[in-house]
Amino acid sequence: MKLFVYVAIGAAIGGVARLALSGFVQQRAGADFPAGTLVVNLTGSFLLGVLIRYALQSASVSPEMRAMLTTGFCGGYTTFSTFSYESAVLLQDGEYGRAGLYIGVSVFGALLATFAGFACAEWLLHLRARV
Amino acid sequence: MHGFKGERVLMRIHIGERDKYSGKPLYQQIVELLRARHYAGATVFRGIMGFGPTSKLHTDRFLELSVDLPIVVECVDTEERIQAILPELDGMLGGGLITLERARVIMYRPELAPGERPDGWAIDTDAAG
Repeated sequence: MKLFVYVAIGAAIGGVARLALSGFVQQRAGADFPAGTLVVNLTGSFLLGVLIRYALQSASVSPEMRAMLTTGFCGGYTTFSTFSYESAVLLQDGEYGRAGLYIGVSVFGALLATFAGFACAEWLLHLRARV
Repeated sequence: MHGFKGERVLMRIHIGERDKYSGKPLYQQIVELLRARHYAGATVFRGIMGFGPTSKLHTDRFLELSVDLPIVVECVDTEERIQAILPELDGMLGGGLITLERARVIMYRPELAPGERPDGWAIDTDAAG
């Protein structure tokens, strides 16, 4: 199958997962802070870190699977455009403190999450080696 | 085992991770073929960056470029056995690179404690350098 089909399948599932989860979180968070997008971006960054670090250090994940799970699912599940839009709205509304917090936590939180994902992958690989 | 020591040939096959033959990964098919024909061994390595005849760059540093990373399959055996498998490999490979190098095998043995090893299993130290 062509590679883009794998990406399309993953991205479709990821996008719908984002719709469901971020909607659910945001309903509970109210109108003040874009918690829904933050949750999917942080969890998605963690997931990508685990998946790609694990997949590239083992032979058990095919390139097609890698594309579907990372470029596909994680790509559809996380969103940079929504993050940018929500930051722009906060700034336009004069909510500079909230905007700064949102941007800072999104960027540095995502980085931390990715590194945590790497560590998790190394732990999983270590477990596998010992079994 | 000690009969395998001496002047041999190292075959290196460079292909892509996505290359397929009969529905399965090509590198897996090559290893299974060599194993079925009782070659001395084979090892598969995944490269982290590379380019080939199409000049497309592949690297694990960028997600979109990591989808078809380089694969190298190495096999050491006698000149005759390597030559014998080449026509079949030609039929299995699409694009890629195959090189043959001279290699001097100074050790080839399975795991056995030093006390249990037959004579002639030791590394050929006089062959080094």
